[in-house]
Amino acid sequence: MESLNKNVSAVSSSFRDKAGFVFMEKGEVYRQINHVYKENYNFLLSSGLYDRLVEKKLIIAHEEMVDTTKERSCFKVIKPEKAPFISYPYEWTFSQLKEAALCLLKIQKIAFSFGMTLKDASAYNFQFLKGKAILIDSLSFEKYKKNSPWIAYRQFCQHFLAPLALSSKLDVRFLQLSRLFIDGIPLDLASKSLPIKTKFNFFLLSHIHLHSKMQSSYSQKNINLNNKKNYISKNSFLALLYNLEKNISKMKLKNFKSEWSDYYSFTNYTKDSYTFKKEIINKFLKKVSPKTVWDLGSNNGEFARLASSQGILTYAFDIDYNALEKNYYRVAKEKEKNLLPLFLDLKNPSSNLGWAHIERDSLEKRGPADMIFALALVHHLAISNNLPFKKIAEYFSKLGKYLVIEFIPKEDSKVKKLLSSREDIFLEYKKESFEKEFSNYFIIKESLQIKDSKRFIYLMEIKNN
Amino acid sequence: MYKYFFSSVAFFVFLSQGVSAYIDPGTGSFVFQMIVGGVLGFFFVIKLYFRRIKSFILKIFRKNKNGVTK
Repeated sequence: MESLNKNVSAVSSSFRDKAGFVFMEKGEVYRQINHVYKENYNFLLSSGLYDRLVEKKLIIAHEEMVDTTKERSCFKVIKPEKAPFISYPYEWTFSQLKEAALCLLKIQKIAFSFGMTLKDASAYNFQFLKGKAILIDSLSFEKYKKNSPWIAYRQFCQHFLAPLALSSKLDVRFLQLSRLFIDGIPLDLASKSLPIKTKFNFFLLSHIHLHSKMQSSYSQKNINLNNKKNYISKNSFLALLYNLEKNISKMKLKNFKSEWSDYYSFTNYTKDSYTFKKEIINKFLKKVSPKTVWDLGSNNGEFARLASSQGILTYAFDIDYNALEKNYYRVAKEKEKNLLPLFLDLKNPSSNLGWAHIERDSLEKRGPADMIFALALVHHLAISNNLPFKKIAEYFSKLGKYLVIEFIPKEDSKVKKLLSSREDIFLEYKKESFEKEFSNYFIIKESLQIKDSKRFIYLMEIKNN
Repeated sequence: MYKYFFSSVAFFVFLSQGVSAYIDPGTGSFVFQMIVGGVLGFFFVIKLYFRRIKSFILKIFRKNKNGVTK
């Protein structure tokens, strides 16, 4: 095998861990392991922990490269299984974050039994592959020093417990706070925000409220990590993990109804027009054979599943958490491997975040997708959000190569409803202008009227593909 | 007089809130973990022994019932 390039440069977000970093070479992802991590890595393998975790599908598998990079610090290079799409914790819905948390605790329990421990509990160490949460940071483990505390406990509480508590006890939209706080939600903020009744819940009282108070009172003091006084017995350590696991499993969102939850029961489709729409989309999928599909405004994933059921990697974006929850519940229940629901506010998507704007990518940077679905979406953008067709077309052209898009005219009752509470200033909102503006960025390959409705559905291809 | 009272209360409230940490607040988490772990570990062990004691006592009762009658 050829030696890898001498001057490997790390992927922009991979710089915090001294144990190693991720880099790309010819479109493939690799991880360099530095000498400083040699002992822990060898133990990870020799103890059998790696094999056990791979067998249980809790950690991403990797193969060892024969050669190393020419960097002096390089001990070994491994090639992990590639994640086709990177999603961030602030794009996950409640149940996804909960699943990642439980996955982490399961890993930590198993690691403990093999004499290792996770040195960090960042939610960014997890991804969703084939519909399940999995740890992608193979260098997260270190040998466990007997009777020492769990070093990642604080980070676990900030990255997982705090947002789960805030979203379940206050409002699910608090999950968005994770976008603002790159290292998890500060515990004092979580503690102040949570309702007072949570102080009567032993679990939250301990891990959030009292934990936060302890943090503040020790903020000025130094502690020696090697101090023999830092002692936690094996039973206490396990009891802590079991306590976290048991209580997080019980957490759930209160039954809430948003305007979108019964969406498909009151849409403007007759059974015939619904079937017709599905047939057309299938026809478009067959014609283009995309490898990836982004369904913007996916709701419960009804149309996204037309793509995912054919083995296409499909990402079902929506702004409504109830719809996302319903969609993800189904993914988990039916063990779907090609569909991933994710949160997206299309009119205010997350930008490049983190240090120097290089750690977390915007949606656009993670694209373009082969195909975008924009079904029953444009009227919301154009009318409720005053976006001209030109702007919508321009942004969509950055997100995907092919576009399956629906135009809903003013005569449709849904659009009438949007206009009912405001003045109709939307003189441009006509089929002809829609087609004209989109033609500046796309070539309209096909356009059909949906049977039994006044709606039109288009297949468009980006110009200069 | 009330001014003194309120300002001293305010002073203590501010004092107890502490200044924002210059050092990464991991130290408090370690200490807290040991406390919570200790409490949970204690109940965990009690639960474990309670089960053992329970099954031990039940075993004795069964023995007496089936015991040799003289």
